[in-house]
Amino acid sequence: MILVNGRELDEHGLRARVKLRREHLLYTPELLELLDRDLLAVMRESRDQGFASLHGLRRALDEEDEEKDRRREEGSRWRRLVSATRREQEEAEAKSGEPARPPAVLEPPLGAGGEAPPPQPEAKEEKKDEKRPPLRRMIAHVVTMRVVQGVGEGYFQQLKQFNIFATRELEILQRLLRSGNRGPYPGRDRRGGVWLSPRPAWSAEAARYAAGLCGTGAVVVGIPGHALVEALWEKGLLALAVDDHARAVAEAQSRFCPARYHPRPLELLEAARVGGADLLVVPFPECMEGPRLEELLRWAGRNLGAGGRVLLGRGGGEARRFPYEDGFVRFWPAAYLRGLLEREGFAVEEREEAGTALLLGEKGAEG
Amino acid sequence: MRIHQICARLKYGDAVTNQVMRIHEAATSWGWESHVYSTAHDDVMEEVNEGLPEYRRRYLKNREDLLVFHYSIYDRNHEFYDDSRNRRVFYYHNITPPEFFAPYDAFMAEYCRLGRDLIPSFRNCDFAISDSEFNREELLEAGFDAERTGVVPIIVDTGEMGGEYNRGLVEELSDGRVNVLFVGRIVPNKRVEDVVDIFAHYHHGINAHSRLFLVGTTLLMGYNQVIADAIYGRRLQGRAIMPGWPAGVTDADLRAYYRAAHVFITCSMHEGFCVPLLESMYFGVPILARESSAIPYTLGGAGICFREVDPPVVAEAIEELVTNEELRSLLAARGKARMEDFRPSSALRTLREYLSRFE
Repeated sequence: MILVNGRELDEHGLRARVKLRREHLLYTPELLELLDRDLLAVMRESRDQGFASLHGLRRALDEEDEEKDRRREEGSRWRRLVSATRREQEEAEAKSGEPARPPAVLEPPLGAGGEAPPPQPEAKEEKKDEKRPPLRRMIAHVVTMRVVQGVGEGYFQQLKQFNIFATRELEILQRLLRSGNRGPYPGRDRRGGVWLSPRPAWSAEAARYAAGLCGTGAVVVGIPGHALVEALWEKGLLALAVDDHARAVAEAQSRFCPARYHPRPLELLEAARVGGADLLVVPFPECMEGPRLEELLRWAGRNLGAGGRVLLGRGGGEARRFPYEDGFVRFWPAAYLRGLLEREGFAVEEREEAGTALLLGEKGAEG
Repeated sequence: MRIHQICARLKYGDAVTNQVMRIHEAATSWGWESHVYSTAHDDVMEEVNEGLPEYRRRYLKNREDLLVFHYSIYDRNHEFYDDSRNRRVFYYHNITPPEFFAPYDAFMAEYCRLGRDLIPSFRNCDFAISDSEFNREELLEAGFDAERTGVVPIIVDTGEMGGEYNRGLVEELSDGRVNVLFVGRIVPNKRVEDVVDIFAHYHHGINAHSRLFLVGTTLLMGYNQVIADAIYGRRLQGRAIMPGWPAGVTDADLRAYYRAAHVFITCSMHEGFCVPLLESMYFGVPILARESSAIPYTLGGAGICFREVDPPVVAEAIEELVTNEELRSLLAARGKARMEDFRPSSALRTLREYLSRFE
């Protein structure tokens, strides 16, 4: 119930409007499916993916923890070994009264008297590190260990910090991924390349087909790339091309076609008193609001004589990419467009030329 | 008279903090000695917070003093209320029922539950004030004495609303599209997903030259995900926008959004007062709101209420509000009149009436 100051605000009227829109197919089956879609399933899927990512991250961190503990344990073992060896060495020195030779593992390359022993054949294969005295070796090893531990610690801290912000990062990543259409949603492939897609343009074949329908002159409302206007212009059949999209107009003008910019094309048509045309091409009826489109087709009914044609683009196929662009209004159902044309006396036929879905209305002799 | 105010946190821009500061200023202007304490504060409010230990040390046992205890979230500072020998006024700002948070944040839900469970323990206060009739009814349900309860609405500084706004943003938003606005924290009790659903019907079915702005700070990652999924699921990318996500927008930008808005909509299921309604009234933006909790009290007939979310029908109501100039003017006029009821002077007069009985 809708209330204004405790009284119903014509709620029945609002409901009637909803019904009317449905009856006039303004809520297409696709749109109804979109609006009635159970979002819970979609949410569950993306939430599960988020949890999976978090779980993976957590596991990676745990593994890092284990690796760090293992390294630390190894470091302690090595320190214990070194101190035990030194202890044994000191005890041996105390017993014999002279410096004992360190065990093989810590054997220095120098002799007991400090003179370099004659080079042994296998000495060449000894590592440089093993030629150092035990204390230096130990210090070098400890320093190395400290550096490794320090680097590991820093890395570990970074990972922890990352963990703190992981949830936030994941969320942002998901947003980015979705905006790049690599998100976990069905139909992403179909929507691929939406964001930077240019305005849909008609192919040269479709343009030739449209130009072939024209006998005396054509009016183009909405410029679907330069191919159509060029084809008409070359044949001397372009009466007027108008668009409310500045870039499309500029592109056509750059090819010396008489294209005009106007936010309300019908007003321009009325003002320019375009006469003698027998073809009206509206490539993007979805860019026009309902009343404007009706008025335009009414103009066509009045001004196109017998045999006159109206060619409407259908927002299917490639044009599905169009909804995301500024200026999009809505894809009109075929039944609605057909009804508008038939009301103005056009016989309607659905066609597809070079991948472009079209609705062709042709006025009979009696029209 | 000496008046002490205790609240959980002093945070610049927060509604409860604003109320505390207005009362502090008013009490000082009445010649009373006023002190403010809180458990936590931000940098801006650091100088205001005198610290709860100070209150315990110097004033806790003064029987002549007056303690106003602001309650909007569970906090251990209720122990100061319990121990106080002052005459005590319990100021209830409402706590969101835990069930709204439970699916998203168990910790937050538990805090809400603790907070609400504690309400009956404040019945022994000398007087209880709430900032809406709805909140007062909650107090009565909790067993408070009706004779010792009163309502003092949130004191909204209309002067601040009329402050500087981002003119560039207003120009940018005034491009012929219909701007549907929601303002508030993006939290589960606000049912922002319902707003998105309604807007989806409006955008896809009625007027594609429209966009929705969800202006507010976010709190729960899980709920953010719900809103993001609602937007993507209804194919409203680039049409439903959360400016300043996740921290919200500046005051100047907020005023710009109000100025450029054609309709304000909220589907909130639980509001203690709902300040954005007053802000919308101030800017003459027609309001469409779910008839729940304190919303009808605050709205007072200055907007359209709906009881159930039937998206296509509410979407038609948006269209009606956008296109019906007569209705817009009527609601704008009613909004201005309703604003008069919330004038700071009248709220402070009522507050003084309540507090003067302790003089």
